Amino acid sequence: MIKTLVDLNENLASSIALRYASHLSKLVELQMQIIHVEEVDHEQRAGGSGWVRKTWERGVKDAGAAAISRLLKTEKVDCTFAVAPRIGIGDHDSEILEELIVSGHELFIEGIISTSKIGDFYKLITNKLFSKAPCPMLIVKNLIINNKVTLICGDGVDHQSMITQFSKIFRGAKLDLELIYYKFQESKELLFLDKSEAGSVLTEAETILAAAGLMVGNSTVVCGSPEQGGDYLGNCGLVVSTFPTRKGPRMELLANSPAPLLLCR
Amino acid sequence: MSNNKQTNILILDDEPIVGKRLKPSLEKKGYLVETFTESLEALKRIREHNFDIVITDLKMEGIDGMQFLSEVKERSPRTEVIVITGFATMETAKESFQKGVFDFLAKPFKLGEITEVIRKAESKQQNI
Amino acid sequence: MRILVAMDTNKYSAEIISDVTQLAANTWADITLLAVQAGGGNDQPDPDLVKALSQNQQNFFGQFQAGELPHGEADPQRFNKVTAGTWQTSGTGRKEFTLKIRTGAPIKEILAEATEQQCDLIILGCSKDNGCQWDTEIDLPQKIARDAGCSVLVIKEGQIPKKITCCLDQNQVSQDSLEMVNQIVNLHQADLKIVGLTGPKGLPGKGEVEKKMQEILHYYSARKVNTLIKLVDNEDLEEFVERATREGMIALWMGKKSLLGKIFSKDLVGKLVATSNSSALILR
Repeated sequence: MIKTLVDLNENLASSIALRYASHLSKLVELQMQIIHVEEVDHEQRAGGSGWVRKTWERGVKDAGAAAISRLLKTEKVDCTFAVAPRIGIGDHDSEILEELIVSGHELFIEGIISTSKIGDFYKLITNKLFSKAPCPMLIVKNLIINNKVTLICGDGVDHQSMITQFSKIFRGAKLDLELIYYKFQESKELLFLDKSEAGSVLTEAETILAAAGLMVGNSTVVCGSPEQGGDYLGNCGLVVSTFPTRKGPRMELLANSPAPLLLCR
Repeated sequence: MSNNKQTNILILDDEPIVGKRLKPSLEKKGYLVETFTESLEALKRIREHNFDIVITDLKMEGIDGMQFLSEVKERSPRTEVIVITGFATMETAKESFQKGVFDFLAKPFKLGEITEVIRKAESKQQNI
Repeated sequence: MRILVAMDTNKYSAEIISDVTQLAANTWADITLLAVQAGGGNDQPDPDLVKALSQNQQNFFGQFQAGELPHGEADPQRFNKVTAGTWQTSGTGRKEFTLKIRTGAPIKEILAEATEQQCDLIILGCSKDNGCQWDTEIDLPQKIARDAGCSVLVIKEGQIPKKITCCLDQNQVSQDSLEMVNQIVNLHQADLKIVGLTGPKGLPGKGEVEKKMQEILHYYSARKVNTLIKLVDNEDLEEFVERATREGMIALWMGKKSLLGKIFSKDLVGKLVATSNSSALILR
């Protein structure tokens, strides 16, 4: 069982994340816990530590719990959650980070609707939560339900670490695995080249996957703009990558991809 | 519509708006209308009661409209079935007619269109 | 469903017939092929238009075996005068199939016919290379798309969309328009992308647009249509639309509350239809 924290709100992004989590729970055994954070700023917060503060906190938590209950009722998802949702109050990232560390979660799931601004994605993956999270982070941008999983390889990517984290979650799942090595290139359409064009990168990654008991169906070099590459990833049920460390083509590719994205350290 | 007896119509569509839109307009024209959004509930109802006309969507959760149509025709061959569908294909149209559907309307349609089809179905029943 | 197909004697009009036929075969819609001839005291239908309609009818029925379509062929030799300057001939079948010629200004006549028939959809073709060009009135497709009371599908010559991108900036989305999208998605077996347009304060309408996107997403996923969603900032809209039209068809919901016209250009629909590389679907 993979201990999984699912961050939910009463909105479109969470609706997608919840449905995707439900799909995922049929592929792998997840022990899912919902978290919802009621973000309040300093001025809204009741002062002190006595009855007034406690009553205020209870009110805020009740409102949060009611929102999650409404979401679960509307979505009617076919999956179970370990315990009652955990409702936090305060800074979203800090609350979630604390829960991830304290409870030792092995996977975090959050719905994020992709935008036309590449900067939004960069800001997300470099924020406090994502940069300090102790486990793989799954960003659900869209509800793409299929078993195709594409792993993004590249120079400077720690394939061993990525595949270890990925295989820990997906061991035993029936997946249609693909490895791609992405190269930025201005061209009218996306080009697919033989895996040898990536040197030994793809064959080495294949070997690591095979050692983890995972067989690759397709292994290829993809050349094009990040937009074209992103569109290509649009039919993947999951894209797996390590965290891009800088604003480069791989980061732009991931920003442009509409597919659910698993980011590993 | 017939002067002797009110024509009763069952409408099944998982989009509640369809029944909501059709029911008052058809009742105003003198029809007895029952609407359903759940195919299993509608199925239960047609097992209890024979309707003159059944209007059904094709793509629904539970049992689909094609199964529903077959069941209606099996139980009451004189019931005229009108299929309404938002995802029309040539195959579904063909299959509907093979199963004895009276007419096939793709959504969106105007209220006038469906009332005209209902009128034709009524006159077919009266001429039998 | 009732479809009005506006045609002239050009190649782009002839080329839309295969889409029209497939849509007619799928939906069993009532179909009218309409041509408009210039005024000038003619008391007979223009022989060139009769010939073009007749040829298009032949292509329409030629795509399927006899009896596969619910429509019957009309006799192009027997155009009956309906009113002064209007002639038509209809086939006999389960569903209506009519060839019709009207006299007057094409835009006015096409819009009038759509209103009289209470059409659900107007389909017309236009050339790809030079923007939208109709022989008599260059901006006809744009004006029809802009002014029609029903949905309009402008098909560009030689384009088969693999993706349909629907832009939404308001919560007034009619059930009819969703159903129209379904039929077009079905026609091309295309993927669907729902785009919410955002301003500096996010999505407009105090959460209403987001709620509508959620409803639409649920509507399509329940029907097993692959649907992607994305938020596009108003600032990036022109660039986004340009890219989207390279990949497939763009669809716009043009409700009364739509802000698209204000933020995109003075005449969004006209510009979109005229400049895009792909077909456009205007939803109402």
